[in-house]
Amino acid sequence: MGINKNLVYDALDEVKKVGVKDAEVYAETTRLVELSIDGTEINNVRVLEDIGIAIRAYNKGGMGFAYVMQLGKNNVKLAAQRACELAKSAQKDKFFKSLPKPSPLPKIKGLYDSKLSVFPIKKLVKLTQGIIDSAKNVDKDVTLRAELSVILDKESRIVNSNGIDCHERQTAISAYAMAKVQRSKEDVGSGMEFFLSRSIDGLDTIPNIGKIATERAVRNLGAEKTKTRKCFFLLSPYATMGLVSSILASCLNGVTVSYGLSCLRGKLGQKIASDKLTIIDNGCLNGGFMSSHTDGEGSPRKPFYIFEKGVLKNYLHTSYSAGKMKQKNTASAMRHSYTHPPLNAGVTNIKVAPGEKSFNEILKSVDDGIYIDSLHTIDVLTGSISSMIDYGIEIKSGELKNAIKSAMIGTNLLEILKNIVAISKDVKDFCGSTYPYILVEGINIGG
Amino acid sequence: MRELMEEVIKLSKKTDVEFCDIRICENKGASIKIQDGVARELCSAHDYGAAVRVLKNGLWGFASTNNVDKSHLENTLKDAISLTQTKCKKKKFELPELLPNIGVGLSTFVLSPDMVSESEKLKVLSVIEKAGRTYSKKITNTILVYTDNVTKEFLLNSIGSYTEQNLVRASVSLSVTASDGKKKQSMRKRIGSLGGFEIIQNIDIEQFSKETAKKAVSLLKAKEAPSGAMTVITDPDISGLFAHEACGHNTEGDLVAHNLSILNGMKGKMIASEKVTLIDDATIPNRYGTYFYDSEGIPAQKRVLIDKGYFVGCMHNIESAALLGEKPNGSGRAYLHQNIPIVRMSNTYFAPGNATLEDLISDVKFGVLAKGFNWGYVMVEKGQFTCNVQEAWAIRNGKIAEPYGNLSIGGLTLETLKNVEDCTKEFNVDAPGMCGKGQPMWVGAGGPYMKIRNMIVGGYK
Repeated sequence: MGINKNLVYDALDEVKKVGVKDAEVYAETTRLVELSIDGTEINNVRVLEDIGIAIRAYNKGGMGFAYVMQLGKNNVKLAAQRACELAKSAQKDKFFKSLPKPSPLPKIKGLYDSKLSVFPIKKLVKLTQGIIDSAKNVDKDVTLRAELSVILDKESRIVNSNGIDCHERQTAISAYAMAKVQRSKEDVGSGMEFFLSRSIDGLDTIPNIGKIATERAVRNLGAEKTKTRKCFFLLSPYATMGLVSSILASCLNGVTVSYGLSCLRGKLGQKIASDKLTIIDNGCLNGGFMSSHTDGEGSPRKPFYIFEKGVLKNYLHTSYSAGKMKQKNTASAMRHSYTHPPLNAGVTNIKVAPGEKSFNEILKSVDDGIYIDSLHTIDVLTGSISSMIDYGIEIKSGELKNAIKSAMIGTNLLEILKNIVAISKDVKDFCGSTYPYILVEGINIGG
Repeated sequence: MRELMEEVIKLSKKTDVEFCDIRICENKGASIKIQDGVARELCSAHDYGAAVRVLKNGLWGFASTNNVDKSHLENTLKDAISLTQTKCKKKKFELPELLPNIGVGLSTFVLSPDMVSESEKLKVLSVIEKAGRTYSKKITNTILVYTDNVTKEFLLNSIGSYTEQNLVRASVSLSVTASDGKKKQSMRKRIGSLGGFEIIQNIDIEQFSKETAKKAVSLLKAKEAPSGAMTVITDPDISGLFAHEACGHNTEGDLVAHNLSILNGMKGKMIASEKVTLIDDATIPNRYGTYFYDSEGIPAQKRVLIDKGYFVGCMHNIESAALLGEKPNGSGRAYLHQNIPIVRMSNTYFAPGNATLEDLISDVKFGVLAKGFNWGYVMVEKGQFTCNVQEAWAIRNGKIAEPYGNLSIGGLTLETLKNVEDCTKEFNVDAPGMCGKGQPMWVGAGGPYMKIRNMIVGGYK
């Protein structure tokens, strides 16, 4: 394992030989271990050693992209030639300006932990077994679907024809648990929890996710149907995370916006949300789960406002969308692996600025509402949000009551943003991203 | 290649593992995106590698490598074996009786996608995209995405099965957005199946591109939908999504065996209206979810899951069959060499009935006709599902009335299945898709028009 720097530059040279000027080579190696729980036992242990190289070439703005998993010199050469052939077959795109150019990188600590890279599998087994044991301590009849995944070592290198050469080495550990408890055929409760870290610090808390997920599942027992009406929605930090990292991120993707296909097109600089809403994206946070020195194209990460007191301050840009919209590049291009080019933008570590009231004060102010723990889908073009409520609890006279089932939220993103009436001072930290509770008024629920 | 695989199996037999299999997979793929008339993204994929899986004391050890040579494969076997020595608390299970399967499955095609040049592909695709873009002055955006794949899978296991499979697929989707200056609406249509580039060449532009554009324009008149429980009539595509999400996932043997499905312990019981028969069939010729052997070397099969309302069977891989004391039925599928074979659907559909669409609509005082899907998902543990609908129409006093904008329909699977009133003779299994269950998978779906009482509609008023 490990990236051969010469091979990466050989691929770039091959592209130049066939007369393509704008090109990028990305190589990646990953060592990963995964342990999965089905029911109440560890069922599978998987190790993955993955290595690949991808070439992205541009000819008059048209893109060709090719990757291989076999890093023999000849295979890489063929992939480079293939990317160029495809670029030459692509059509002219007048909006393409340039791939990113080199600029100073931020200094970020805590992305690689040498202790995690050699963490013994036996200890991972113990932590995974701990998830099961802690869940059973809450409810002996619980069943789980859970996974512990450790990136023991991920090394990547991006070079491009403008002189960018960025090398990154990372470790990461993530775990999730979905717990199910059942009292009768009709009475089923489920709950989720997860854990994220870059290092071995705090690994001993991983088993707690089994406990928390099961406590949530128990809380969601006895669910009842609810009435169709407009009422308050109180978003938990998990639902706030979905609102920002999934829903807002999709609508703020600069590429989508640049084609006029987002409900937030034409809204930059406008006050489209409650002035209580401030959101910052910071991909440079020390030890942040979503931190990296550069985005997927090699542009240096930097912190920026998404919303400031309700005003939309930035779309999330790649080099393409920034060039097309003549806006500054926020270095938000996402590259999930060498198998996909970084053509879309997303968020990194998010901070939703906390408010002044505590969660309890906000809860007490709600006469009729729904507390939700999940929010994740939107029609990006129209902004419509129409989906079943995965985890919801009825709020009556300032108190959490029974869980609800078979109920649908029907609203619009702009309605949610405008109707925010409170943001809590309590926040939950997800390894660098912090999300508070958010109270929204006048949202439609169908039951 | 087979010799290399046999070496690994021989080595595994010198250890104390109870079962071992080795898969070598190759996927060559291409994709082309044409957006607003410009073919600006052309991509090529080449995945290749091997995976070794061993079973010992009920625990699976799985390791994969991108280097298919003797030394890497031997190390991969060692890695897989070492993972089973991690002292997990695990109940041992007996493998079901397995007979060795030996065979080759080759899908048919006229024009292998890798033999068609990019310029030839672009020529055909540009006509399809342009027909949608130029349908009306109200069309503001189009996105056409074409993909093809040639996937090869070779499997050898310690009981003597050796299977080879070569599947060729092609698909195209067209998304058309219309605007009247104030509102925007979009519509998407997708075609995909086993076969070569001839699938794309044979597309009827009137039906595919112009009809999609026409629907996007007509949706500009869409009103806001109401919310709450009401009668919904689903078209074959939405019926297929309902079959896949709400029902299919809950009949996956791994989820049933581990008590993660709502159908755990309900085999043989009536769980749906007698109008409901649910089938998963991996053998329908040339559908998107069709194959010859699963990734454990078991031949593909047709599986009846719900028969006239009774829950009669699950989809199984080797392990789930063992846990439930049943026979594997060819549902253990893995996307690439890096993925563990888990229980997956193939082509999932509701069987047709005898009614006509007019019969279903005629006595509905107020309801919704839902056509075409964007996405869907299910929470299997409590059987709550959502289907997001592209095109919805009000039904008033037995007649189709005004269109509604984007909305979802959903509910609880067991309630909804009991509320199926009738199904039409009109029926198809033509909806291709990629299912996500930790790893992607090619699947198909379909069914008849179905009339369902008391479904939840997620409108805005």
